[in-house]
Amino acid sequence: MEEDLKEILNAFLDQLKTEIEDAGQDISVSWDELRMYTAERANHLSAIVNEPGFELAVRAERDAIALKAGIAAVNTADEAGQRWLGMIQGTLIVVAKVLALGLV
Amino acid sequence: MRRLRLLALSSLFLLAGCAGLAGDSARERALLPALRSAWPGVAADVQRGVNDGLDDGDLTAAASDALVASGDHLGASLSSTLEEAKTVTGAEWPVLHPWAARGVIDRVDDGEVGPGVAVSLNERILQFDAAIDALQGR
Repeated sequence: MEEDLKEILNAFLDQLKTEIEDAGQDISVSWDELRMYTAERANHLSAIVNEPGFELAVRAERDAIALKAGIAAVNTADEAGQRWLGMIQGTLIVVAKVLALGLV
Repeated sequence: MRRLRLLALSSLFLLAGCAGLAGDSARERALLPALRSAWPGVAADVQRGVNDGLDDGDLTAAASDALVASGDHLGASLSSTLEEAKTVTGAEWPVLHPWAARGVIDRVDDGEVGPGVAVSLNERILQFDAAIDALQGR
């Protein structure tokens, strides 16, 4: 993955880490492990942006990342959890599409 | 004096054990919201697989109804207590897992999703399965 996109992913994960820790929550894997996993999944999405069902794939990858992290507050009834899921999903879409378009 | 020291040491071991158990329990509890959040997507794949099984004659209507009931039971347990979720997911998920995988295959066969999207859907199923394993303490 290009350095610029690594920076975007790192900035996003740093922000997520801050928000999760501020909320008194934690994740069940190390942040480095989650960083590598998220980059891997974003790379995969970048290869399939033109496939039918791409939006389903983004939601599935978002769920997979949340499961991998075991983010305690990811709860459909919880406002912060919803925002974190949205952050994961939004970042995956941006990174995947930028990679696919070869903009970096 | 020696008995006192022995008692103190035993208490320390007991406390350490309890702390370990509490840590495991917290980790397991932390998985529940993520499982709950991922379940609607996984359940849609299960439903798709069950419908395909019914269409292809691999399932009777009664067996299909039983699988749907299993899925409803699992979904409800994720909003219940940790113990309930452990018990129900441990019993129901192994039965439902193959139907989720079949649902993804059916989506590809019908042209609804591409093969790369199927990889993502299967990744969610894989992580869901791993989280349930962790919930069971495996």
